[in-house]
Amino acid sequence: MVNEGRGRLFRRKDGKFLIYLPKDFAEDSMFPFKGTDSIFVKVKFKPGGDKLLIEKWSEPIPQEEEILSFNEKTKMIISEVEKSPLQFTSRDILDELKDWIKNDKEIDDIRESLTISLNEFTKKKFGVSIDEETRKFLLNELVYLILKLTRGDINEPKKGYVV
Amino acid sequence: MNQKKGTLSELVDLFKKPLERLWNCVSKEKVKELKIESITTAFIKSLESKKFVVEKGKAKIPIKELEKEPKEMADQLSLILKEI
Repeated sequence: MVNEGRGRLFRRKDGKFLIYLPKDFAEDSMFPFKGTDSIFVKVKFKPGGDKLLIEKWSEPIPQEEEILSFNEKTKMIISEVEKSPLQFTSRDILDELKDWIKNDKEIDDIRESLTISLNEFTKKKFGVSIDEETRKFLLNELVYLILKLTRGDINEPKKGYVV
Repeated sequence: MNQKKGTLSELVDLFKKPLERLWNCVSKEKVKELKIESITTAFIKSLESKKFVVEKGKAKIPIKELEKEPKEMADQLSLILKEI
């Protein structure tokens, strides 16, 4: 039985911390966190102490009324920004959709591409880059309009239209 | 304000791909080529109709203009889509 091992706590380049455990230690038949590739843990320490306690932790299951469908979420966003349009300057609607879309990288790439497009738009039109507040507003507005279109809240172009 | 010539097709090319990816992310059905071209064209027309000013070397839309109801913008987009 290997009930003691030496590992390492380290900080990754993205700023997250990971604890490395030796393979033999984690694969021991008596290792308490067996049987899964990934588990939630609760970590705590006593102020002034030099020990870290790691316990198994189950992610709380949201109550039914707390679980919004993607449709409900988009409806909520649309309703909120229509009531208060200046929310476009403070919100990040793409970021708010991440929990439903589950592809953070795709969302970040889209945000970056649209940011570049908006900047190129003002460069082509006015010869200068775009103001930060305006960029944020227009980016959110584009997302809002796409959400409205996909929900069928805006009439889509008729089949066969050629630009 | 005097606007430079950024042709419509250049601008559509600029926005089409990211808008298509956004659509495909938030919708169950993939958007068709012609449809996303029409939508992108409508977006560009809507963008071009906005009242930009250049201040401190940046293009911005004054806050007064930003306060306009987004629903109005959606209606405007709907109208543009019908005209395309």
